[in-house]
Amino acid sequence: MREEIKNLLIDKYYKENYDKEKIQNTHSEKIQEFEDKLKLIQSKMKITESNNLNYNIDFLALIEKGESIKEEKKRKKENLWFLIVGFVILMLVSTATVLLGLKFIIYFEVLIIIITFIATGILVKGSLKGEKL
Amino acid sequence: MKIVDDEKDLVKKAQKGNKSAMNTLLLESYPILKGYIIKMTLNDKETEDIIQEAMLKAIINIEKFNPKVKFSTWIIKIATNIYIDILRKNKRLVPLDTEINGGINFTEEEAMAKIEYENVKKALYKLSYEKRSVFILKHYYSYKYEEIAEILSCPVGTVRSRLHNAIKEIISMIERGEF
Repeated sequence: MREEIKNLLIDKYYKENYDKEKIQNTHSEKIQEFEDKLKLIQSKMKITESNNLNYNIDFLALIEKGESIKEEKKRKKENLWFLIVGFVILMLVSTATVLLGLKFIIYFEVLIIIITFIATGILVKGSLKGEKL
Repeated sequence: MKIVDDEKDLVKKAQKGNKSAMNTLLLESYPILKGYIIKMTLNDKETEDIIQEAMLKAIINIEKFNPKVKFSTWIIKIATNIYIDILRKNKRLVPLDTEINGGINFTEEEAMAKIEYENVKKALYKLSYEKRSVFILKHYYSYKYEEIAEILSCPVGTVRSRLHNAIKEIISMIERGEF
């Protein structure tokens, strides 16, 4: 029997799409013979799932471990971002100071103080609102 | 349909950090994962390690999981990749022989089942891991070609030809009286 027909019979046996016409043109005895071989695989390769194959896997402990790994990754990522942002700001301030002179540092510090006051005010207001609710 | 929707709900909850939902997903996929990996590795100790590592990776990366596929399909894919990595490092895993005569408490039925299991293990071990994975997923768990292609990250045509070759190899083994 042609390999192509055998392949189609395997597809048929495992309930996949196959070309019915090509199989119909083949001698039925040969088809039956190959299908019997496929059925033999079914019985020969049968596995009774053994009950003694139970591993001591603590799912909850695994979840805890996974969560702590996730937290650790998140913390490392945040630290890295903090360092990158800090470095970029430092570079920008240094460049601006070189270009605009030492006065820029004073303007920059005044600006930072004003922003800090405004941000603190907003945060305090927000947390007070949250407490009232 | 209900089962699929239930699983999607569980995945959403697990992605939001619900440990109970994550636990349910792992418990539900455990039997199929265990069955697949034990047939792939044919090694009890290695199976336990791979299951634990696959589950840990699934927990860590649950946010990246897209519920277009079943959770069990995804975790099998993770486990397959872990197994392939181990094969690359160790070249080839050797199946552990389970003692058939050594166990004095076996009933005749249990002993027969053990012998049959050993024969199946031998036949599976003779297949390359690529063919073995396709054969196991198709023969024992009735996965569709498309799902197997997703798990093994290869084209559907490759899955199809690997199954055809695996079946023909097994038929030859039976004809040669190897098991």
